[in-house]
Amino acid sequence: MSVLLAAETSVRQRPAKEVVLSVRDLSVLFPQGYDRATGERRILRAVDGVSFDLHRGETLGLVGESGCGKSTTARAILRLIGMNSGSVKLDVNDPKTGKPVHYDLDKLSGAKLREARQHLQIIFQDPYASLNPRMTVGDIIAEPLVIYGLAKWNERRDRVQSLMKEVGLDPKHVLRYPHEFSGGQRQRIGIARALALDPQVLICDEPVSALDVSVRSQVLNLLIDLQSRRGLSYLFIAHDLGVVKRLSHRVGVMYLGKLVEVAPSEEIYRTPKHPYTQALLSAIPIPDPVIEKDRRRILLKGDIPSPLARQFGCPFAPRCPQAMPECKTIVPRLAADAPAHEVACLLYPPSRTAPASDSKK
Amino acid sequence: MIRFVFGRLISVILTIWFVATLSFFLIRLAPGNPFANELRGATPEVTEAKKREYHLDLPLREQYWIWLRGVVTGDLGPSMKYRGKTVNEIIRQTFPTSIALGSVAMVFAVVLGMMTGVIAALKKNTPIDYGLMAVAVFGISLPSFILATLGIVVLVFWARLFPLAGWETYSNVLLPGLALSLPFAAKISRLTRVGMIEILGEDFIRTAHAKGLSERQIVIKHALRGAMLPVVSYLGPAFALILTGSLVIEKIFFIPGLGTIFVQAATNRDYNVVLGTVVVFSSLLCFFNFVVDLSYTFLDPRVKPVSGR
Amino acid sequence: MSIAVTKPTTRRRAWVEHPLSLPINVSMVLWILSFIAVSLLANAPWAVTPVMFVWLLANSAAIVYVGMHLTVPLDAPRKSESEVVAEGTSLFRDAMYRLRRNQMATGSMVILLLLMLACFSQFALFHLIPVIKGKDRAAFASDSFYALHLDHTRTNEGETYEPPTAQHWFGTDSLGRDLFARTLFGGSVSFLVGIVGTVVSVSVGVSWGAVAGYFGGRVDEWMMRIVDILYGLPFLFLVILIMTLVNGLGNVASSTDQKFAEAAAAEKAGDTDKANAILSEITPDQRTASIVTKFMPPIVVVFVAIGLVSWLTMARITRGQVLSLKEREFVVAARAIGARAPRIIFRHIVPNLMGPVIVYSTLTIPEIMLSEAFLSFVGLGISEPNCSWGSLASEGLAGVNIIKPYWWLMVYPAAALSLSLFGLNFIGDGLRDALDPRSAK
Ligand SMILES: Nc1ncnc2c1ncn2[C@@H]1O[C@H](COP(=O)(O)OP(=O)(O)O)[C@@H](O)[C@H]1O
Ligand SMILES: [Mg+2]
Repeated sequence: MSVLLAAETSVRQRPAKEVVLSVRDLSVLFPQGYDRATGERRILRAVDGVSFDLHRGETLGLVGESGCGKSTTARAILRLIGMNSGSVKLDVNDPKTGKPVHYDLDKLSGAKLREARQHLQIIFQDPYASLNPRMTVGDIIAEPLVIYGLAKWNERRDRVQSLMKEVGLDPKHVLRYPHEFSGGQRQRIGIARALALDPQVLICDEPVSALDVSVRSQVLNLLIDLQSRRGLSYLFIAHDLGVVKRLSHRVGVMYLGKLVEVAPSEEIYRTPKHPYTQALLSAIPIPDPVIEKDRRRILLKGDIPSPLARQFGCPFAPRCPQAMPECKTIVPRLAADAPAHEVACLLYPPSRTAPASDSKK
Repeated sequence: MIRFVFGRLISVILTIWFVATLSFFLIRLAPGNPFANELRGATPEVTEAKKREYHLDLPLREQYWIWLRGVVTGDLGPSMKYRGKTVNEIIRQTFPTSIALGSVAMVFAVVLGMMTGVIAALKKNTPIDYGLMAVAVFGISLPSFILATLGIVVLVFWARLFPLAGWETYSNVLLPGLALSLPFAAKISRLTRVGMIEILGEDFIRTAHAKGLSERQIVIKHALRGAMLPVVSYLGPAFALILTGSLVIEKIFFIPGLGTIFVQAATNRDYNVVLGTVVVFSSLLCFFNFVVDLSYTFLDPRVKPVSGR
Repeated sequence: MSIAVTKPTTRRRAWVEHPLSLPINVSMVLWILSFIAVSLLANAPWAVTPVMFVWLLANSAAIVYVGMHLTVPLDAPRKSESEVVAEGTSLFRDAMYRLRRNQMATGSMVILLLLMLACFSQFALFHLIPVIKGKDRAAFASDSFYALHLDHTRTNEGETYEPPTAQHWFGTDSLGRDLFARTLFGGSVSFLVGIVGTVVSVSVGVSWGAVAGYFGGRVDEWMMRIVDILYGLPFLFLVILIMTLVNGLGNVASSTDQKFAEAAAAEKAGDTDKANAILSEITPDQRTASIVTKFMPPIVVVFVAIGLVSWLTMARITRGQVLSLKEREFVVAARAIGARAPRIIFRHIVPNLMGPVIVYSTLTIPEIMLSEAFLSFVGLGISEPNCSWGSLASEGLAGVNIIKPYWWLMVYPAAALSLSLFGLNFIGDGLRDALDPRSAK
């Protein structure tokens, strides 16, 4: 399994090979009422058969234009919204006993699901919307502890204060309300809340997109720090490759609800295979003016098509500069073209193989 | 949409039926009967004959069916107090009066309320805002009968601007209408102000500012529409309250409206008149609420017709 | 407009942090409970004495409470910040702090509390003094303080329609009753109707709306359908019909009770035949009316009926807010950290509704007091010998004419009613600003 061989190169310390989070054929459909002309039920395929693995201590970047289904993927993994098909498996170590535990997230509900969520937390994109304006910072950070009964009320204070210190907040501000903080500080509050349960996997849904450029790198540094200190695994979502580059070991590129390319970070920046990835990469400004001048910029024609539209063939075909006639009819499959480098494009022969021959389990 | 309208219509009919039935049994359970005064000291035969005339001798269940059949065919029965008059006639005479009073009050309330509310929101935290809201608190705090009395004392007795009471000319409707509408105008004004301020602080308004739309365009295009929602959802209850509030106003200004008739009939146990007015009022109210609901779904894209799902 | 980052303010000790807060809060609760109990039991002499003692105790505690809260200096330093973390009441604390700084609201609160205390004290003393002195109400000398200023039931044929004098501060009414005492008594009734009605309306309305809005789908559809149907009812008309029924029953019941009393008197005198004759005259219907009225006095029906009228709007407002609130990211975040529905509803959604709920509750108290006044005006609410500000004002309205205006009959109750409604509105506004730090600026 090529994905399992991933991360031959790594930005920082090399992650282990164990898989902590495994997503297979995840699909989320939103019914959108009925088509006025035909009377057919319209369905928005927000996430369409996404599969990937996340290894312990690894950061998997997930990039794509806004609206391509990244947040929906994240929320479906956490079961915050229902998924229509697919499986999500979580393999973590029990924090008390240290023994491995396995959760089939897609099948859980109620108390068991709550238990699983303890190990899998999320940081939201909008630091203004994701904090309850009526709760003090202390209450916000302490809430997961209260829900899981993890600390008695007198220990809670210490836990909250040490969490605040850990994410770089002044514990003196524990009684303040979110609106008294800046965006970067608010995002730190969100991070502290997510860390309160001591999770092993953290999904970061564009944690810095809403922040000023000046504070972005501080928050990113914090995340890198936390990862090395706590051995966290990140599913790091962003809408541009530039941010992801800083901290991802591997990068997945999404387009219209589908993963089109997954590769180790360095490789995807050096030798992007999918035309969409190439286009995305060419849009990142490069600080070096010499390279910047020589660079070939790939301009995509047209807008991102509506995910409502019925798709035949490759979803990128209508905008692809290298589209071939069969792109409109054959659906390319995500498959390894080089070791640890998967791509879903008919330019690469493995993508043409019938899905049945490669059984992803 | 059609299913939504249809579903609502059915529930409207059910509601009216429910109210009518409840009222029927409530008023019948109350001790006393319509002829208690009239037939004091009359022989039992006379009383019996009188009761038979109005089917009051039958078991309650049969009386109910007779009456319900009448309502369905549009016949609300004879009055038991006013000789020789049917309830339909009484309502036909008094209904326009009540409607005129109610609509004048409603129009006053909405126009006055929305205008002052928008002005106060735009001039937030200025003396204009404080002044308007103080007046609004005044309007809400004063019961309409105190307001009406004040109005009579100041405008009629003292300034002699309005005719005293009665129901002959157009100016007759103004003072009662105003007295009836002020509390509602004040409430609508507050709702508009709060809604408007909230909307003006939202992101999309800031975006609109950023796009360079003028203040007036923003207010009219975006803010007003959002601020309308709480107001529109208040219109239904406001209408009901105005209808019931007119009972008091009619009493103070000696206006021969449906409300006066209703209260009299309830005390006199004029069963058919009581039930007739209840049916008319609830139909009116249900219809109005129905219209409000429809406009609500148009104003707020997030609220989808429930049964259309 | 813009969300500015407020500069850190020095934290100050809020008034609820006073060391005596807890006992006093308990006594406030006692105060309200005993108020309700007294009102319900006022007709049952056996219950009055012990309840009244609790009542007076609580009353004095309330005076201390108010006085203390208003005198504790605002800038007293807080306990150390970290100590307060676990308590989690800081939102309320800060809101109270901001409320205290709102002079209009504080002033209204003082006036309203004084008004309430005056009214409730009359209520208590009226019942208590005869018990303490062991005298009948009628036995008090006509120039005693009790008879002049506290007894709202004492009639005096020689002193009808007296304008305000040194003896009768607010004048007298058509039966020569002291209007001062009656205004105070009417205030107790009005406040009681307002408070009980609002508690009923807010708790039913918020829970209903929040549950419907949060669960959505079928649940929402059905719950809101019920609200819609109830909305379609011309409620006050039904209340009028109910009051017609209740008052009719009350009349029957009082004449029946009179007959029972006559029979008992005859029995006592040894005239068993006469007693039996009287008893046999009482029909089963009359008996039922008497019993029903014992359990549901008309005045209680007024509370409940009016209270149950007004929760619908609250439910609708709440639901509308919840519908948009539950899509907010912090609610999703709460689900992600494992919060269950009750916690999400009552800890995340309901506190964020506080603004509209508070504002609407403050509109509800006066609204309910007005509904009661309205009913009394039509002649179907509070009936003699009880009275409320509404019924007093409408009595007074009859005295307004050009020839000989008995203005005091209208002016004092109407002024008291308007003053408290003003106060309630200002407090509501103050609370809204206090609870929503963003709107305070
Ligand atoms: N609750 C929802 N109902 C209907 N459509 C939704 C919902 N949430 C997201 N979508 C749609 O799904 C698509 C993917 O959205 P999202 O996952 O938020 O994109 P991204 O996070 O990549 O910007 C978008 O077209 C969006 O409109
Ligand atoms: Mg997103």
